Amino acid sequence: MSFPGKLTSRFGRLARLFQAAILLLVGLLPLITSGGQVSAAQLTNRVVAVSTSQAAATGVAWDFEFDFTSTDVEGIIFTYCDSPVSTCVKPTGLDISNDLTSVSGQANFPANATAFVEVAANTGDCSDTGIAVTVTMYCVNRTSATAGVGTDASLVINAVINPTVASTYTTVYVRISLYDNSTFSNSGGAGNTLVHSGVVAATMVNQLTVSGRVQERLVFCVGALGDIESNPTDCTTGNGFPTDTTVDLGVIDNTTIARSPVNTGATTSADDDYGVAMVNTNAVNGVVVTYYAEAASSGSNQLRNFRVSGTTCSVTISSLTDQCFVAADDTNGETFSAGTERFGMQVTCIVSNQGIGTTNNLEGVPDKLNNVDDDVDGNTATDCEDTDTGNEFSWNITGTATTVASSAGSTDKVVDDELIKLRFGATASATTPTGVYAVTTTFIATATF
Amino acid sequence: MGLAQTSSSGSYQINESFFGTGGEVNTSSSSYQAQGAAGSLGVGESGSSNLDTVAGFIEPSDEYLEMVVNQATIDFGTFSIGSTATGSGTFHVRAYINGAYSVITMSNPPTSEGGAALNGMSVPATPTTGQEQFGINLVDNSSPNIGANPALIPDAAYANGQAATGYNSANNFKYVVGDVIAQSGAGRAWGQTNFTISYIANIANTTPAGLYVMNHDLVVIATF
Repeated sequence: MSFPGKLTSRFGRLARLFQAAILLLVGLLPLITSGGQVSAAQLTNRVVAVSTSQAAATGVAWDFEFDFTSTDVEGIIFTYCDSPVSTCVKPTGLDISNDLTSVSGQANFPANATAFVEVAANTGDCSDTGIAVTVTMYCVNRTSATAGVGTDASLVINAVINPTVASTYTTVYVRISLYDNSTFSNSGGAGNTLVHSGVVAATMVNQLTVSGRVQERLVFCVGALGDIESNPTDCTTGNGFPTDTTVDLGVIDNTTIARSPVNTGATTSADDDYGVAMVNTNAVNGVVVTYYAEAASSGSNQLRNFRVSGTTCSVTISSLTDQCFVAADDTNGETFSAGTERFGMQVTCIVSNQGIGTTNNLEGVPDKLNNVDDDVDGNTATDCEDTDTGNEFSWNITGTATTVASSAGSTDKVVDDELIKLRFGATASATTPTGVYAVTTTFIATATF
Repeated sequence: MGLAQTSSSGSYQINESFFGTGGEVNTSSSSYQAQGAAGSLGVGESGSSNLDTVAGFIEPSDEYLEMVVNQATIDFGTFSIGSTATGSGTFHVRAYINGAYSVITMSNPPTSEGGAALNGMSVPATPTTGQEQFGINLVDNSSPNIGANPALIPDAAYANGQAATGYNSANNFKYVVGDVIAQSGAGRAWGQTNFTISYIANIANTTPAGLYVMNHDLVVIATF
């Protein structure tokens, strides 16, 4: 501090004495206001960044960074107070006790490879540390006589418990003191000096709570879609979803395998339809589509088989002479051979984000339903009902729903209008009796939110 | 008169001047200009070609930092895929002239009980319905009609807080965890600035169901 000579030359002795007194007072002012850190140079560009400003938060990292001119740094005291100067009062709720906290993230100190370690007991100016929750100081030291400039020197004190918020906010002022010795001595002279100091601040505040609800949604539909029809884009009839629910395989004989969609012709009742099931849900844990065959309301035995209404079938499910088809193996699936009586269902593909929905999450088709390629996802043709080859089918006659497809195994599990295409297939034996065979299937979509 | 900030010219030097006791004072001549205020933390900076002065009651040598988040719940209600949900909250930062400050947003976007988080908008953009989005800004918007520009208390002579880049364009929203959303202006930080955070959210068909919540953690970092 300087007063220009031109101004002071007009003062008399008394004025000069008064000026000297003022200068003395000014010179002592830092000593009075900064707790004895009179000889320490100021840390510059000093900052502390907390990992959260939440009141009373635990496990909080306090990341300190500062610059200093050339010095040997062997001890650092971080004093947590409710003010930058004068008597230090620990902010309510703050806990920096050294059984809780730890130090890490040391960078850009002279001889930085020599790490600072926590000082567990009071030593020198480090006079209020320890395991008590009341302590205001966290001290670290090391032994290193290497002097150097500190630019962006940083250190992190971890696992601090933040103070509570009094009314609207609480500001914590951390007084940082650097020593050229590891015993925090400020008795004077090289190796016993507080070399740098400075104060940083962090504020604990309330939080704004932002909330909103996305309502649960599950849309599921099943139908029989004409082969010549375009894929529906959702479950509404206006967007192409059929109201028809019958898939007619036409005439089934022992020379071929009837596979839906079976073309309409002059000598067959086939309707050129195939089965479809579409799902749309925002269930975060996914959706599972299952099916079971309804039991016929009349007749006896093999009630869940492809059968003639009202008939009495054999108790032997493999019978080739009754009016119930032999169900395709429901454990591993079964590849049909023309002339060997069988009935079953397969999933030809799942049309996902191919111009319809936006997701590709419905998968998990069991092998027994997955045709011979075992890969419904690999079949990307949107008209896979025509292009997908193979005659592996299965049929569930247990009355207990079994999985057709699921998104539960996907990383993202929501399903946006994904379309399962279902093929029914049958072939007769030479002994299969004539008749109109039918079965009704129930599909279930179970979403887990 | 206190002792702190230094003003000087070729002829003289003043160590922290404090002018007047009430209201804003603007005093100027060809050689100097000064501003002062009454009340705690009424501060101001001024300058001319010859000198700079800083007025106020708190010693600039003493660090000072204050941030108040006005506790509130911003409830978007039930999201609709056809409309943008909006809300707003407020906070203020008060600093003295001894450093700069930045306000950082630390929280993840609103997250459901199932762990699904709304997509934060990585670049400033206008809201789009049907597309999952979560964003904020700190300025006055017309579409949607929410928010307010940072309010310098009482005026620009006494405070210099501002919305940060990416969060300072009307009708454009952004949200990236760890971003600076507000900061002091060029040079040192001073005075009280009141900020309004505007929140927007949109959902898509694929947004998982649930109650989405974010406890907005705002951290102010001051450099002294």
